[in-house]
Amino acid sequence: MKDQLPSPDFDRSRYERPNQDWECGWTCDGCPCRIGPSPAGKCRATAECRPVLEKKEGEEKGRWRCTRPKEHGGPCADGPRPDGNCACPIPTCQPRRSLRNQRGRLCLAITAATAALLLIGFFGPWRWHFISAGPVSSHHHGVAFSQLRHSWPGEEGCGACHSAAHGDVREWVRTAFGTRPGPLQPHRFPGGATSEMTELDRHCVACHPGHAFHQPNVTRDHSCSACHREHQGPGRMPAPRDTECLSCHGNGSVMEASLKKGEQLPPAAFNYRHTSGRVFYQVPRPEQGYTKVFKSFAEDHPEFQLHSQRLTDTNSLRFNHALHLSGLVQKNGQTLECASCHQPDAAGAHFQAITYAKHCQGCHALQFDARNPQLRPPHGDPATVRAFLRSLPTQYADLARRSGLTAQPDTEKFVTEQMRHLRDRVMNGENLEQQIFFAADPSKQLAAGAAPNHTTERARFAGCAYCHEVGPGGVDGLPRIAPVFTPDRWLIRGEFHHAKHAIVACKECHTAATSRQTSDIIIPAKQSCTECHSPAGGVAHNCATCHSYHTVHGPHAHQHAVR
Amino acid sequence: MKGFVRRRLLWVGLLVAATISVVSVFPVWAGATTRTAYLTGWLLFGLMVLLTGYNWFKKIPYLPLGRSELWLQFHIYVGLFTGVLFLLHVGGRWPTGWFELVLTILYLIVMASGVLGIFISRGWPKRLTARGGEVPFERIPVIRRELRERAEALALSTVPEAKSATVAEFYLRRVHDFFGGPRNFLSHLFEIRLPFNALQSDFTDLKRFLNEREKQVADQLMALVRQKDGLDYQHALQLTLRLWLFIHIPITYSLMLWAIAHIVLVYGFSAGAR
Amino acid sequence: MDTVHFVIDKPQRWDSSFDPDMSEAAVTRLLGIRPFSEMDVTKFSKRTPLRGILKNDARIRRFKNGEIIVRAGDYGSSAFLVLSGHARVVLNPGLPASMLGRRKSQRKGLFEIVAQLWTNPRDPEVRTQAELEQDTGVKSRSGSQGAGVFLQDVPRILDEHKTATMSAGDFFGEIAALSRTSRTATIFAVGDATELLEIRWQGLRDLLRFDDHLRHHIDRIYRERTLATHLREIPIFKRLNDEQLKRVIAQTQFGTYGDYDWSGDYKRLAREGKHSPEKETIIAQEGDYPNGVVLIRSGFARLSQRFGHGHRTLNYLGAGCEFGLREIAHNWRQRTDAVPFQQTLRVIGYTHVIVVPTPVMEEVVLPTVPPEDLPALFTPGELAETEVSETTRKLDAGAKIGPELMEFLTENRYFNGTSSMVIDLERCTRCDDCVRACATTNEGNPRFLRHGQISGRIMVANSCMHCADPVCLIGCPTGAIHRGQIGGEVLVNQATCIGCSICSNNCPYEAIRMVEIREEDGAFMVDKDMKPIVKATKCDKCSDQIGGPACERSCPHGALKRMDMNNLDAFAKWLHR
Repeated sequence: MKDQLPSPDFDRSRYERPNQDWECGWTCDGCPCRIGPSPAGKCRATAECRPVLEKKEGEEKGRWRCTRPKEHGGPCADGPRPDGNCACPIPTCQPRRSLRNQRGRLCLAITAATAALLLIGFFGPWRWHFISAGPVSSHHHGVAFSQLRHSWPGEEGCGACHSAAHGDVREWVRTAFGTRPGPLQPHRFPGGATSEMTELDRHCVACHPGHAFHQPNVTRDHSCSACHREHQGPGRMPAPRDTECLSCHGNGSVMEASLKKGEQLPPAAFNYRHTSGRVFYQVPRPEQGYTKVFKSFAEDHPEFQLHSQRLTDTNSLRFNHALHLSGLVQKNGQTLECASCHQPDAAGAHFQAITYAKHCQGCHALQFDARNPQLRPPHGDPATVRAFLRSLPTQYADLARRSGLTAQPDTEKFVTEQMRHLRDRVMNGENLEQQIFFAADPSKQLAAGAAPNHTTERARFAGCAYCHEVGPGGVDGLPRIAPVFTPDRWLIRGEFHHAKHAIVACKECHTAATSRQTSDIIIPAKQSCTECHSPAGGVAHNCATCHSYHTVHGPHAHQHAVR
Repeated sequence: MKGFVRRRLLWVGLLVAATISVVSVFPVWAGATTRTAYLTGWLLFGLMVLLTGYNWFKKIPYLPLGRSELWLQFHIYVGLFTGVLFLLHVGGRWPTGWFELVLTILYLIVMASGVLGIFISRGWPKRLTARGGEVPFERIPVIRRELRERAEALALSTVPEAKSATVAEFYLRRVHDFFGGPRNFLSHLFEIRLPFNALQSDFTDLKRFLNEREKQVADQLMALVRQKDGLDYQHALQLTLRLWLFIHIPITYSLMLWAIAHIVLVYGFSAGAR
Repeated sequence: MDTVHFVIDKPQRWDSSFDPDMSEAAVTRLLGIRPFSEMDVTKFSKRTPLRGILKNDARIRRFKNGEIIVRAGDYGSSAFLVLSGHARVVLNPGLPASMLGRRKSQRKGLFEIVAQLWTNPRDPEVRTQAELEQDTGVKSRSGSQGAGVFLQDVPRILDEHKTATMSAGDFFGEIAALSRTSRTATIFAVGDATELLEIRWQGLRDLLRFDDHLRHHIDRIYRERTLATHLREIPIFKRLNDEQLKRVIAQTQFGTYGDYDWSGDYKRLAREGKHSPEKETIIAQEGDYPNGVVLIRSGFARLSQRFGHGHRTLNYLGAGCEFGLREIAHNWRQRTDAVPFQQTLRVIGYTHVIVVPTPVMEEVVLPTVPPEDLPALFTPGELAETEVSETTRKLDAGAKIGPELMEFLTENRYFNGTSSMVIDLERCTRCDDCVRACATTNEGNPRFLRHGQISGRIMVANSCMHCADPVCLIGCPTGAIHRGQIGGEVLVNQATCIGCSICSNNCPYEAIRMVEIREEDGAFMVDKDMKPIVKATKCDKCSDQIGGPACERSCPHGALKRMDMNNLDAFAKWLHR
C-alpha cells in the first residue's frame, strides 16, 4: 500500500464526538469553537476568557487580568477591557444538528407524515378507494349494487360484503379485534384450518341464497370466499382454483366421511337435478358415490361412467349412425352429415333436440300409398293413426279437394278409385292397419305396385315397426309402441360447450361412423379430453373448466353461468 | 479468509435451506389452509420487527446483548429471507389497490436500500483504505480549512517574489473554488478521475509560463490539490456510507406503521375469514 | 594553572538534569554522607563522575509529616535514600485504595447500567459532585515538589496499620526502579524534617556499576527478596528443592539493558527514521555459545533471525519469556552435537533480564526436569534450515503476520499493549458505532479517537492499550492513575486527578487526553483563577460495565478488536480470520 496517501496531520488531542446532537455552526468553516452549543441547540459562545480582577495590596481599583488558558493561546496581548469584559469575543454561530440527530428527526418526520397520510386516507372522502384491495368484479360494482344493502353513506358498496364498512376507522378496528381468530391469536392459524363459512360468506349468501348445495352427502362446508375471490380486477371474478376442490376431493378422510353419509341417505336424495326441458341420460350413481380421491384431471380423475360401466343407450328407437353417414343424399342434393340433423341450439353449447318432424320426416315420411305420397298418417300415438285409417275415404276426399278437384262428383270418383286400389293391395282395412303398425322390412314397401322408377319420393318407411318397437297389448287391441327416450344430455355432471370445440371435427370425438346400433353410446371417453385438456396438451384443465360446485338444489334454481 | 468464508457459507446455507423448506411446504399449506397469506404475513411481520430491533440494540451498547457483528449477519440474512416470504405472501402478483401498492413500494425501498447498503459496506472500505488519507469524518472541515489557508498563502507568496501574478491569478480562477468546500462528489463515488486530471493538466499547462521559483510553488500547490482531492474522496465516500441509512431507517418506520394498518384492515375486512 | 575540566562527552541525559536547582553545596554535603562518603571516586568513569551523578541524577526532597512518598502499586523509576528524619513503610495489608488516590474499581449494577439510558448527561465532560468527591483521608496541599498528597490522620494510620520505620541511611525503592515493577508498599514521611535523596534510575545504574559495595548490597537484596519468588514461578525451576534453589540464586546474574525513558526517545528516533533493528542493543547473539538461559523479567526484547542480508523479526518476548533453554537442553543431552543460539535477542526500549548460567542449568536444574518436559531436540533439518519445527513455527509470529506489520508493531512499540485497539480498515465502514458505543457507555464522552498509525489495512487507534509496561503511571503526583484490580486495566480516578498532564505527556500512543470538565449545566468548571479545570481521561476497558469493552462488541463488521499484543498468535489468527 505504498501509494496510499498519508493521513493528514491534525490536532489529535481532542476527541471527536459523533454522539452529540448539535455541533458548532463554524465547523463547516473549519474552526469550531471549544465551547460548543447547548444540548438544546443554542450557541453558548461568549468570550475567550473570563477576566479576573486582581487587587494588589494598597490598590483600590485593581487590574483585570486575561485568564485565557495556555492551550488556547495564553493571555492575550491587549488584556481585558477596563470594564472587566474580555476584548476577544467569540463570534456566535448558528448551531447545526449532527448527522445522527438529523437522521433521527427525519425518522420522526417521516413517521409523522406516514401517520398523517394514513389518517387522511382513512378519514378522507376517498377512503374506500384508498383501502380497497383492488377493483371489484363487474357484478359487484356500481350504484345499483351499492344500494342493495344499506351502507355508510357515500361508500361504494363495500358494506354489502364487509360488515366493517358500515362504520369508520373505529368500526374497522373494532371488527378487526373482534374477529375470530383475530390479530392477537396468530397461534391459531397453523391449526390447519378448513374453509369454514365466515362472516364474509354470510354476506354472500344474503343475495346468493341456497349455499347448501353440491351434493347431499357433503359433510364439510366450504367458504364462498375461499373459491370466489373478489378484488382480483374488473370484469368477471376468476374461476375457483383446483386447490379448493381438491381440499375435499383430494382429502381421503373427507371423502371417507362423505361416503358414510351417502350410504345413509335415500337414493332419491341424489335426484336433484332440474332438467330444464332437456332429456338427461340418467347415469346411475355408483355405490360409493363420487368419493374417489384424486389429484388432477389428467392423472387420476375417474373415467366417465358411460365408459367405465360400459353403459348402453336403452332408447327404443332404432337408429344406425353408420348407415346414415355412408354418403346418403338428401332430397336437396346434399349428402347427409352430422350437421344435417344435429343443429346447435341458441347458446351453441349443445344441439337442438332430435324430433321426427324436423330431422326424420324429410326422408322417412309415413307414405303408405304410392299413388298419393302426400297422404300420410299423423306421426303420433296409435289411436290417432287408427282414427286416420278408419277415415280414409274422408282423407282421400280431402286430398282431392286440396288437389283441385272441388266438384263433388270428381271428388267421389277420386275417392272410390283410390279405395279400390287400396283394397286391391291390402284386401281390407285391418290388414292395412296391421301393415302400417307392424311391418318392419324395408324391402316390403307399402308402395309396392308402383313402378320401380316411379318418380315419387322414395319413402323409407315400411311401418311403424321400421323404427319403433311395436308390440301387442295396447288398449282396444291397439299395439303398444315403446316410449322413445332420446337423451340429449349424456355427461350431466359436467359442462361441455360444443361451439368452443368447433375446431375439432365431430368424428374426432364421436365414433358415429362405426356405430350401427342404437345402444352404442358414442360420447368420447376421458382420454379424448385429456389429449388437449392436460398439462401436456396445454389447454385449461382446471376443475372449474367443466364442473360447477353449485348444483341445482333446493327451492331456488341456480342458473349455470354461461361461460 | 478461510474461517470468514466458512461462516458466511453457513449463513448462506441456512438461508437457502429456509427458502427451500418454506417454498416446498407452501403448496402443502395451500392445500390444507386456504389463506396461507395469513401465515406468511405474520411471519413476515414478526421477522421485520426483529429486524428493526437492530437499531434499538445499537442504542444500548452497555448491555451485553451479543455482538453487533452477529446481529448484522442475522439482519442481512433474515432480511433476504423476508424477500422470499414477501413473494410468497403476495403470490407473485403486483398489488392492485392503492393501499397495498404503497405497502409494496415501501417494502421494496427498504429492501433495495438494504441490499445497496450491503454492497457499499463491503466494497467501499477497501477503496477508502487503498486511496489512503484516512481522516475522521468530523475533522474534514478543519483540515479543509487548513489546506485552503495554506494554498492561499502559497498562491499569494509568489506575487512579491516573482513579481508576477500568474500563479495568483491562476489560483483565483481555477483553484480557489476547488478549495472552497467538498468537490466532485459524484466523480469520487464512481471513481472518476476526470476532474482531478483536468486540474492537473491545467497546472502542467501553467508551468510553461513560470520561472523556477514559481514552478516550485506550483508543485507545492499541486501537492495541496492532491491532498484536497484525497480529502474530498474520503468525504464523498464516508458521507454516502452514512447517508444510505437516511433512506433505509426512516422508510422502515413508515413501512412498519403501514404494515400495522394493513393488519388491522385485513382482519377488519376479512371478518374472520380464514 | 587552572584546572581545566574537559568534560568528556557527558551523558546526553544530563542536558536535562533531574533537579536543575541542585547546588554544588548540596552535592558536597551529600558526598560527606554515607554511602557516598565511602565510595571510591576514582572508580567512576570520567564521563560519569560521582559528583556529576549526584548533581544531575539526584535531587533532595523534603517531606512534611504525613506526606506520601511512594504508593503501593505505583510505577516509579527512582530510588530513595533517607538523609534525615523518618519514613514509615506500611506493611501488608496496605492502606485502602482511596487513601492512595485510587478509586475502588467495582462493576455497576444492572439497574445502574440500564439507567444510563436516561441519566447520561447531554453536555460533554460533565462531572457531578459525587464523581469529584472522594473521602480519601488524604488532602492535596503544596508539598515538597508542588502538589503533594498528605495523609490526614497519621496517628490513626499508625494505630491501625503495621508499619516499619526507615531512618537516615536507609535505601528503598531500588528494586522497583531497576526492574520497573510496581512499588510494593506505601511509604510516607513522619515528622516535618524528613529529607530524602531521590536518585533516578540512570544514576542508580551508574552508581551500581562503579561502586562495589552498593552493588553488592542491592544484589543481595534483590536475590533475597525478589529472585526466589520469581524463579519459583517459572516451570523449569519448580522441582528444585530449597538447597538447589539457593545454588541457582547464588549464580544467577541480572541486568537491565536499554533505556527506561524509551517513550520519549523512541518517538524522536522513529520520527527521524533513525530506527532499525541493527541499532538495538544485543542481549544474546545468534551463533554464539549459549552461556545461559535468559529470562525476561520486564520490558521487551526482539527475537530475530538472520535472513538474507538482514534480520527477520520472529517475535518479541515480554515478561515471563525465556530464551536459550532449548539450545542448552539440547547441548546437555547431545554433548557431541552442540548448537549455538539459533536466534538473536535484542533490547526494545528497555529489558530487565535474569540470566541463569549454563553450568548451573546443567548441574542443578536440568537433572530435576523429567525428560518429557524438556524442549524437543533440534533436528539436523532444522539446523540446516531446510525444515521448521513445530516449536519454531509456534514462536514465529513474524511469518504469520508479515514483516511489514511486524516492523510496524515494533517501531511504534505497540507490542506493549494488552488491549490495543486494532481496526481492520478494509472492513471498517467509518460508521463510528464504536465511538458512539464508547460515549454512551461513558456518560456521553468517547474515550478514544478513531485514528492512529496505519500499516496497510491495519490501524492502531489512539485508545489506551493498557500496556504491560505502563509509562503513564510514572510520576503521577496524586496516584490518580493506577492499575485497577479487575483486569489489570489502567484507570484514572477523576476525583484525585489534578490535571497536571504528566501521564498524558508520557503516553507514547496519544491515548490519554486532557479535557476541560464542565458543571452539570454545561459551563466549564474553573478554579479561582478562572483557569478551566482539566482532567486526564482515557479508555478504561469498560471495567465498571458488564460485558467487556463496548467498542469491540458494537462494531457491526467485526473490524475492531481489542488485541493483546503480547500474544501475536491471536493477532495473526484475527488477521486471517
